[in-house]
Amino acid sequence: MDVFARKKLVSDYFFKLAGKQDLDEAIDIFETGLVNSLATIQLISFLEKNFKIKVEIDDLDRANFRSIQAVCGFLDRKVAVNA
Amino acid sequence: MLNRFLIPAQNAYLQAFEDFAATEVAPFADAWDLQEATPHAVVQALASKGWLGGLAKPENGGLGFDATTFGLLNMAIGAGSGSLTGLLNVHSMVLKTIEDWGTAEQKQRFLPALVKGELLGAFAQTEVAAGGDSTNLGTRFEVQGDALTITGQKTWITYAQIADLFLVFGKLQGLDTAVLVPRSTPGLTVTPKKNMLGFKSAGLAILDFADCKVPVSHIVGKPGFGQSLISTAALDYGRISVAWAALGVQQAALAASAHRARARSTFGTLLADQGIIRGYLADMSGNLLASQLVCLSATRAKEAREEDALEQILQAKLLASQRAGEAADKAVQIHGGHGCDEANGVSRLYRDAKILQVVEGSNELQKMLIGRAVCDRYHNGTASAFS
Repeated sequence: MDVFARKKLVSDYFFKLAGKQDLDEAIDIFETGLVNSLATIQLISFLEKNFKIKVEIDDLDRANFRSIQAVCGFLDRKVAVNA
Repeated sequence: MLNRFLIPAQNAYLQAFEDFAATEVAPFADAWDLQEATPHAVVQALASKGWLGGLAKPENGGLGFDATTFGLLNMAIGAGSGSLTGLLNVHSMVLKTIEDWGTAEQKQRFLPALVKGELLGAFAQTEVAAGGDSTNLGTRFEVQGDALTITGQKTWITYAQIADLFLVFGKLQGLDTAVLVPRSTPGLTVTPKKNMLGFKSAGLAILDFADCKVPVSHIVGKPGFGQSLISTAALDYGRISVAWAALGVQQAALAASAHRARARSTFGTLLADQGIIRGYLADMSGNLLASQLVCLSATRAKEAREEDALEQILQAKLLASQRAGEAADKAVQIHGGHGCDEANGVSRLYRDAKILQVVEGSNELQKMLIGRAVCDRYHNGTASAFS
């Protein structure tokens, strides 16, 4: 999956999580209260299933998950490590 | 009914679970309730079957249960004793947390014994002022060199009376954090909590932490992820346990009611031949079938890692426990004065059904989460007429 397809998939999932039809890619969905208390585990499950990665203890940093931009950056790094 | 939807391996397990429950659990459950204790022998029996570690992966010594098989275990045991499902629940939550998010050191030290049931785990989140609203947790962790000092109190902790290892939730520098605390840790006092409404043999206790120290390496995951990840992931299994245990309660209530209806006459007519009683039984039967299908859909969604799995599990817990309450209520009604006797099994079902509506997030909390998801789906236009 190329970087554009990844971003589209991540963006669409963020829209669902936040209950929005559009979302600025830099918006922190946790700080802004756009998502409920289940969002972290749902997001991690989504990333593991769709991008064939394993989120490890060392990956547990809010900076990796807070926005569309953050998740895309995280995936870029994970994919580079796994390549 | 449910078995027609299961794969052969699940059906084989279900048969084994039901045989065990019929011989080792159900005949004694009322006595355990009156004694407010679970005998060590039945815990050992569950452990020797490998079922306490059933959810663990085979490479970790477990049986590799899928979510449905874990549900079936809770359903079968729940038909015999709601309390005993509490052990399957809290122990499995601790075991899965360490398996999924523990460090190599935590796994090496705790996992093998948890899988074998030689070490029993308990989930220590609830406090007097913080149940479902975990943002208010008062338990504090403070780093002092290589040690974490724990201060606070947990209450109504299921099976804490006999547990060896607690997964404790609190705040570390304001961040939600989960920490493993062995029972033997100095500064931890475990006090039995008696006279609960239901789950009376589930060994509840109060945990007091006073200058209680564990190594910093006992933190699970990372500070800041105690609630959003560790607790939420564990409670996903906890809610499966509760939902499927509620199926067991419904089954037991229906079976007891049907037997009573065939055995008892009033005004010269069997209850089974009275329209109002038949109506009760028909409702209980239909509600049980609907609950079974919702529970099965939820665990299958979890196994397939479907996006809505978490929401389906919330829905299953909500629906099955509500219906368990209704079924137990009708069972008591059909049994009349006998059903009001504390030593009668249907009385226990009635008490336990209420507990199922309160634990692992009250049903009101489930409704808040489900309700929001439903609104979002319709607002987004992603809901179909049948979603």
